[in-house]
Amino acid sequence: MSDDPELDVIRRAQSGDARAFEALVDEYQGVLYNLALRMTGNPEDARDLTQTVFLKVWRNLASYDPRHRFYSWIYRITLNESLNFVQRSRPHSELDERLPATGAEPDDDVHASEMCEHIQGALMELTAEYREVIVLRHFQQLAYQEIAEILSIPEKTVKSRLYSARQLLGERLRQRGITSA
Amino acid sequence: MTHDSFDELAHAALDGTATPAQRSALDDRLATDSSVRERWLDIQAAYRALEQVPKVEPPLDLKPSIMRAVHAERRVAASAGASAGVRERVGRAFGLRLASAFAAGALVTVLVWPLVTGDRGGYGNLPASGMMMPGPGAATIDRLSLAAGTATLTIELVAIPHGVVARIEARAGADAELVLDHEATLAAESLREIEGQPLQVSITPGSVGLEFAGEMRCAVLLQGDDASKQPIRVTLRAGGMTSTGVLGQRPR
Repeated sequence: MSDDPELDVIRRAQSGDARAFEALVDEYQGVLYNLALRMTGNPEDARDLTQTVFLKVWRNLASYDPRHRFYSWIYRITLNESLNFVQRSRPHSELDERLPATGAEPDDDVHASEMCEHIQGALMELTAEYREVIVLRHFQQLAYQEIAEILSIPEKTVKSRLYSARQLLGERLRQRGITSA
Repeated sequence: MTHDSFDELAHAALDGTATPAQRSALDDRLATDSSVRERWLDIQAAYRALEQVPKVEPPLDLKPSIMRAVHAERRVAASAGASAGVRERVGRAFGLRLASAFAAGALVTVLVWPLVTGDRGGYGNLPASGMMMPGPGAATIDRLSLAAGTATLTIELVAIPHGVVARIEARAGADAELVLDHEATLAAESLREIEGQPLQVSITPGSVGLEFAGEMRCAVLLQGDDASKQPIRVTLRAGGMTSTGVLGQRPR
């Protein structure tokens, strides 16, 4: 037994315990799905990617080194899968139309849904390098140091990428008529 | 007094980590330097917009789907471990049935299988061009091409006495999965690997699963009465994408 309950679960999963792996799926499916969704802009792609990621995690659990943080490892796998997918995928302009709708909505919700589509559309216009730092920081609420660990880059680089990414995102949103005013 | 750049001040303020000195320095810059005001508004817009994007719940069927795939992997790993090193894998779960069917199947296998699979030059020596050539007496029922992610697949269904052979040519830039779902009245009796080999093979009642990467040419023998009239659903998965099609008689 270790002091870290998650590490115990991971070790059980490493030894082939599917129930332990199921606990990891419970814990991470939401964050990984949202990560894939924001990177690809498409719910179905995000679903397939999340499943692919968990299968890879299952197959490669033996190679996971517990000295590193587990979430860093699976976030990295998810980002790689998402980036590979986006690189060989359709033009980004198609993505706006495939964002999740939330069903029949009152006017406010329609407005919110349109806003989300604009934001995701603007996000998809950023390079993958910029998009990933925005997604990790703003949607996954990770600290700069955690992002640096996941992306294997210095914290200083994370900050400078994030500054540029936010600036560009703001410009893209302004072009779409969305301002801070 | 702070000598931080405008970027550092602006992002620290919006992150909520700015010290009072930084906040004051930012206010001074905005009041005195018109060139940074537009940038400030853009950064603010980005922050506010991102705050409006809600978290999305994953689809309800995601976890069951993941766990089904994981359990399938465990079964495949277990069966692969049991048959490691065997190039021609026979559905071991069907061992007894296979033994009883062997006498009847032997004739089919000896006479028809090499013609249908194109395996005329001996195992492993097959010329690539011979792979998809129908042999005498083997009627092509259907042909299907699919693509998903980096994977492409051509599969040809050929009728043989008391069965069909699915001849497969597939290529994938990364891990890919091919599943043939067939009627339970058909029995997957053997897999002939002609060039390249699946990384993992799963033969269960009603389904044959092959995982592969790179190039793979193989043939799957499905035996059963009226096999040529049974639809076979083909699913190709790669890079998070899925493509499906039906071979043979389509379901009504």
